[in-house]
Amino acid sequence: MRTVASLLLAGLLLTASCDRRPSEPEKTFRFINRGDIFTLDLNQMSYAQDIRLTYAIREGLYAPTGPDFTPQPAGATGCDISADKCTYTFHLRDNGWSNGDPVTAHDYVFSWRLMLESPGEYSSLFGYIAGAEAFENVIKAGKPADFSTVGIVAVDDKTLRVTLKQPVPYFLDLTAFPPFFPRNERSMERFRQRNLPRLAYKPEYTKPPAVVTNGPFMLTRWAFKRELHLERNPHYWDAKHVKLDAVDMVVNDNLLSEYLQFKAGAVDFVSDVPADIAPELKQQGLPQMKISTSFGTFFLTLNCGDQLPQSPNKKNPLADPRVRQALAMSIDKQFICDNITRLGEPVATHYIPPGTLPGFQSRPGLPQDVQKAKQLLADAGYPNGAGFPKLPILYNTENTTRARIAQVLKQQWKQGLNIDVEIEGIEGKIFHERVSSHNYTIATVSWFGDYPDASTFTDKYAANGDQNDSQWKDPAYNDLLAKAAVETDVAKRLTLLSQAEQVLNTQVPIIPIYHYVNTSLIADRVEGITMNPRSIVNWKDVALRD
Amino acid sequence: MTRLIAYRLLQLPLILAVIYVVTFLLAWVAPGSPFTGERNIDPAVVQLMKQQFHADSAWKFLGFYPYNILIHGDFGHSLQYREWTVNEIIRSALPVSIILGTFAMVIATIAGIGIGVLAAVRRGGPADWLSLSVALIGISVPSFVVAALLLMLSATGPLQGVFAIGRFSRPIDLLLPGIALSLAPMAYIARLTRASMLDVLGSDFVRTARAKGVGRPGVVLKHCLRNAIVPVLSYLGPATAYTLTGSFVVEKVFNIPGLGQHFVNSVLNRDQTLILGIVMVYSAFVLVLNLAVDLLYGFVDPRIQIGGAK
Repeated sequence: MRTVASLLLAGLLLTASCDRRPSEPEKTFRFINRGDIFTLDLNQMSYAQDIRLTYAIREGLYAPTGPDFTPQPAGATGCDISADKCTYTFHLRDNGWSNGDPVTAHDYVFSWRLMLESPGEYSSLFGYIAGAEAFENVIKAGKPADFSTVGIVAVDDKTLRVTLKQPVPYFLDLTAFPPFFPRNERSMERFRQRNLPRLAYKPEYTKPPAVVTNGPFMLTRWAFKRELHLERNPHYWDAKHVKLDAVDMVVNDNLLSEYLQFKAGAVDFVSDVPADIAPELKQQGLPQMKISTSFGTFFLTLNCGDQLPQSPNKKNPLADPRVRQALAMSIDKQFICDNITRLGEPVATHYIPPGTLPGFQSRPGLPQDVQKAKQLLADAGYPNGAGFPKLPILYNTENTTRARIAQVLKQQWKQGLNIDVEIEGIEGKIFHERVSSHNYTIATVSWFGDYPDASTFTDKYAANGDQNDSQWKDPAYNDLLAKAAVETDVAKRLTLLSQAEQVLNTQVPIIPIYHYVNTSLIADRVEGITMNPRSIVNWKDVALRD
Repeated sequence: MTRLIAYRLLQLPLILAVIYVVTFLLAWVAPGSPFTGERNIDPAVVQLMKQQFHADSAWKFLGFYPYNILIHGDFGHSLQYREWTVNEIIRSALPVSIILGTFAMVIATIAGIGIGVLAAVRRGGPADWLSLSVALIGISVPSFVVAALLLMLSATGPLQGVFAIGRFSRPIDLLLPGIALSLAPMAYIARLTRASMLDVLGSDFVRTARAKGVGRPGVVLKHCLRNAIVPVLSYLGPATAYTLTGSFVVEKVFNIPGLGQHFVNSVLNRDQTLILGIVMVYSAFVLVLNLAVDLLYGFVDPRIQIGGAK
C-alpha cells in the first residue's frame, strides 16, 4: 500500500514539474468571456460572447471604432451612397485572409448569400436588401432560387454594390455587425453539404486548422470548453497597429473561480462579472471593477391576448390597458435596484436605455403612483383587486435574480393593488418556448439592442414582428414605425421612433423595470478597453503595459 | 466463469439498446429544443436548421443515429455546439473524467480502508473516535462545500501558485478536485470496513490464527481484511460509476472539462445527440464495472462461487 501511495505521489510531482503547455508569446492577453462559445458560424451566431470573439478574428466593410464606436471604414476604404440612399457602392481595400488569399467583393457576396440560403437568427436583417426577402422565402419553401434577383453584386474584385429596398440610416452599422462579415469560400469547400438543395456548410469550417479569417487575429487552437487561442494575423491590412501578440479566451463558467483567476493574475479581463458576485465586488470598491451603462433593459412582458393562455374561455384582464398601467404604476422599481440587483442600475420607466443612442431622446413613461394604479384597476372592473384572477409570473430558473424579483413583485402587487399572483419558475429552454409561443401571462425578460439605432428596440413590438411576444398590436405604433422606416431626415425619423416608444410606454405591453449596466473586471496592466453600452472590444487597441 | 462472462457480455448490447430507446424517447418528448436561442426564430428557418442536422423528424432521427453509431461509431453532431461532434466532445472529456474519477476512487479506497481497519483494531480508543468523526464529516459535508474551500485555499493560502485555478492543464490540477470527490465514498468505505472488520475480528478462525502464533498485523491484514473487504467491493462498483457520473458539482467548481458538466448541460440544452452519446457511454461503464466487481468477488473470497462454477 505504501508503495502504491508513494508511486502516486511521485507521479503527481513529476507531472507538476513538467507543464506541457506550449510556450506562449510574451504579450498574451487572457480573458474570460461572458460564457463559453456556442458557435463561431456567422449564420448561427447570436450570443454576446460569440460576437465578441468574432470581432477579434473577423472584420466587415465597416467596424465600430473610436470613443463612440461609430462605424468607420475597415474592410472597405469607403463607400458611395446614391442620392436616394438606396444604393451603397463599397470600395474594398487590399486586405488578406489569414491563409494569404486576398479579400475580394466575391467573398462578401458568397457570405451574404450563405446567410440567406442557410438562414439563422440574424438573417432577417438582410431583409432590407432588395430582393432578399423574396429569395429567402423561396429557399424556405425548399425550391431553387435565383440569386441574381438580390441586390448584392460584386462589380469587380474590389467593388461591392448593395441595393436596399428603402433607405436604412444604420446600414453602415449593420455592415459592422458579424452576420455581414465576409467568408473565404475556397477554405470552406470541403465542408459543403452537397446533399441539400441549397448552399449549406457544416459548421466545422470555423475550427482550426481549417478556419480562415480576415480580422486582426486568427484562431489557431480551440479546445472545447477549455480555451481558444488567437494569434496575430500577419496578412491583416492594419497588422502594424495590432498591439497584442496573442489572445487566450479561457473558458470558465464558475463565478468563484472566475474571480479567483482574475485576482491571482491568471486572466487580465473578465468581460461580464456574474450577477451573483458583482454587487459584493462593487461594495468592496474594487478599483478594477468597471461599471457602465448597457444597451439593454429588464422588463416584464405582458400577454395582451383576449383570453388567458391556459384557460381559453376566460377573459384576460391584461387585454385592458388600464390593468397593465395599474400593474406598472404599483411597482417600486427603486426597491428592486437597491435590494436585489444592487449595481446602481437606472430605474426604467421607458423601454430604450437612456444615453445610449446619440440624438435619440426617450420621453418619461409611467411613474410609480399606487393611488392612481388602484383607481385604474377599479375603472377596469376590479375595485380593490376584487374578482382579479390569480395570474402566474413566469421566470427562467437559470437566472437567480429574476426569481427574487418575481417574489418582490408578488408582494408589491398584493400590498399595492390587493391582487394575488403566483410565481412559476421553469427551465430556460421551456421558458423561451413558452414566451415565444405566447403561452404565458406575465414573464420576466430582457432585450439588448444589436445595432446602434432605436429601431433595434422598437421593431421588436411591430405587429408582425417575429420577436413580438406580447400579442400587442397597436395601429398607431405600427403607423409610426412605418413612417420612420421611410423618413430620410435623421432628426424627424428619431422623433417618430421616440413617439412610437411613447406609445409603448403608455400602452404597457411591457413594464420596464431597470436598465442594465455592464460590469467588467479589467486588470491594471490592460490598456485600450473602454466600457461602452454594447460592450464592444476594439481588439486592435488592446495592449498590455510592461 | 467463462459462461458467466459470455452470458453477461451477450446481455450488454440488449441492455444498451433498451437504454438507447428509453433515452431517445425521453430526450425527444421533453419540451424545449436545441434550436431555440435567446431570440425567436421563424419556424421555417428552424426547420431548415434541423434539416441540416438530420433532426427534422423523430423517425429520421431514431433511424439515422443507430445506423451511424453501429456502422461508423459516430453519434453525430452536438445539436447545441454544432461545430463539434458528440464523439469529439466525449473523446476530449471522458479521459478527464476517468482520470479524476479513478484518482478519487484510489484515494477513497486506500484512505477509507485504512481508516476503517484502524478504527476496528483500536475499537473504542481515540483512533476509533477520530476516524469515525472524519467519516461522519465526509458523509455529511456536501462535495461543493469541500470543493469551494479547497479552491479558496489553493488561491489564497500557502498553496497559491501550486495549482492552476479554474483551468485544467496538468494532471496535478486534479489533486484538489480528486480529494473533494473522494470524501464521500471514502467515508462510506471507512464505515463499511470498520463494521465488517469488527465482525471478522470476533470470529473463531481469527482466534485460532492468533493461537497458532500468527502476529497481530498478519492476522489483521492477511486473514481479516481479505474477508472484511467483500462488502467494500460490492460498494466499489456502483461507487466508481457514481464518481464518474456524479462529478458534475466538483467539475463545475474547479472548472474541469469533464463529462459530468457536459452531461448536465446537454440535458439543460436539450442537446439530444449529446444526451444519447453520454448516456450510452455511461451506461456501458456502469455495466462493465458491475461485471468486473462480480468477477472480483471470486478472487477475493473463494467461497463465493460465480455463475455456479464448481
